[in-house]
Amino acid sequence: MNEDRLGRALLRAPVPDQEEAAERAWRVLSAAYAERDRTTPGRRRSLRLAWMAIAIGLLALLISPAGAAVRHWVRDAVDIGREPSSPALTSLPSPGQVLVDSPSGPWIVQEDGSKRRLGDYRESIFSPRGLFVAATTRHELLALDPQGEVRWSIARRGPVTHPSWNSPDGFRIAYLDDRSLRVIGGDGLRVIGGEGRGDGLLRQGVAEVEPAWRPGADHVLAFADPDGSVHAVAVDSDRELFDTGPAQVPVALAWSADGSRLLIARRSGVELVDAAGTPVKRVRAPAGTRISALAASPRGHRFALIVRSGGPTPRSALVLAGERGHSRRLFVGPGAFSGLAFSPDGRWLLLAWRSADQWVFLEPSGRQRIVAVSNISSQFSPGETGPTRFPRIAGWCCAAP
Amino acid sequence: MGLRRQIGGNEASIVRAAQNGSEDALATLFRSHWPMAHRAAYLVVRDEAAAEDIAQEAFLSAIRALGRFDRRRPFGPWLHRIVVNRAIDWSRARTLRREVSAMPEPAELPASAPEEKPYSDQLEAALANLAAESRAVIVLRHLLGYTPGEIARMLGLPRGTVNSRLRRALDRLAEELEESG
Repeated sequence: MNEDRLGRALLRAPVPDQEEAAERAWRVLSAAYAERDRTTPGRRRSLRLAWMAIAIGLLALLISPAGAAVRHWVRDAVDIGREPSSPALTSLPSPGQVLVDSPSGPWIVQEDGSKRRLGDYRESIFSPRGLFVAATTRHELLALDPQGEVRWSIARRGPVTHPSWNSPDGFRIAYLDDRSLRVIGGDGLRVIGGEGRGDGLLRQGVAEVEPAWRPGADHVLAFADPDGSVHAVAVDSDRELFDTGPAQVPVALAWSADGSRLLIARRSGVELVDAAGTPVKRVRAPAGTRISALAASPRGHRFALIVRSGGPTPRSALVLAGERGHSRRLFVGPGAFSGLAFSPDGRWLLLAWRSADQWVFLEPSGRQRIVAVSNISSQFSPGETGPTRFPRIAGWCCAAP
Repeated sequence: MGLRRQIGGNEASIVRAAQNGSEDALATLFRSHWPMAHRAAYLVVRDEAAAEDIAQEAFLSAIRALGRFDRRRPFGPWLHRIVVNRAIDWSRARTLRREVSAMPEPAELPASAPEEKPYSDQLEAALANLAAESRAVIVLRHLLGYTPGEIARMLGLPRGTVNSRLRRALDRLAEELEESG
């Protein structure tokens, strides 16, 4: 083997997240160094004090929630009841707002933990900048402002489900009217560059999978057919860009933040295809498990997925994967995880752990903190005395306007 | 080849300045050594978060011991010894955990119509099939440029063991790369 070539290849081998890792490390190191430097009235004494300061810092790291999280990460699994959790959602760990679909309707949760119910709707989704919410009733699609005031609505024979708002211009909303895929202007009336119709049928007989808009101004929509084939269509010209061909019906579709990759999650694995529909990578679910949810990171080509094992004692895992490098389990627990979302800055993941009635916020990199919140169902169904349905995470969007 | 050849000869004065409280000097040391330390950790453990932790903890150890550091000695080898030994320990612990894991991790598959991958990607895949101890000697020899004798001292191994590990690892890499195209 050519050893010079080997050396060059080792130097060029991709190291994920390299620059951000360096920034994080420098912040930690400079803080530790400053701690050492603050104790310098006498050099010999300062050495002892610096030692003590760093030792205390490291001890604090080990016993603080952040340190606990690091240990959990190393252990790879956290069990119900063993992770100390907060009894109420008092804040979000990262800027932004979380949209939640509960049995009593959608709620917007602000960064300080305050929340507002928008009304009696079934499903909801944020507009690209979080200024509006598209919501559905059985036979209506509506646009609401963050106070819950209806800006426009359109009635359909229905049922109306799976709304999806395009980004970044917000000029299109796709939704399912029974099994028909329709697209409407984001202002409820106006379709820029379309055929002048306020609301148009794109395809009939599609699968019940939330369609996914490719980020960008060209209004490309990915959706699935009942035979499992996934199509990408330039909506304004109704031009089909690709069709993956029949396969298992997807459980979720998502585009990478730069729009260069479509992630297709099926029960048996996740496939990454490029903008022309050419497969780039496949991540297979292990035997005896199935994938139930997917979220794309707002940064890079990373994505998170929920994998669930069957049998008498089912377990679920939250897995972080990317186009390069290996998949990494972030969290494993008994029962079912029902949803996930990345924070707007991509640093945190919110995991809905239905079986534990908890939300778990995880920071996959950096300080690798973990924050669990209990009693989620009752917090989104105030006044209910009986068992309530666990709420669905509908999005984690931009900071409050 | 190797990091030591790339760093200027004034490292001793930079270390002295850092010992005397210069954050600029510390930043210079960090900028000089972080990329290779992080890369070395990643190539051994092949886990993004663990590599970051390992490199970061190695630097924290360096800061902790900065006052006692002998400036006549180069900083890099001392840092690399910590990084690579921690990376090996982490990989061994992970192997043990995998044996008792309740749920395997998703398997990576090539896409059905893969494009030809660059050599560095093929190498990365081939490295994944080596034991962590073998990856460590490859990284120390061919990324960081240490001699087998230096590697033996860093890892606390007989020199003959290092040589045979290197030979076997290179043979295995050559086989893997040949198979992958």
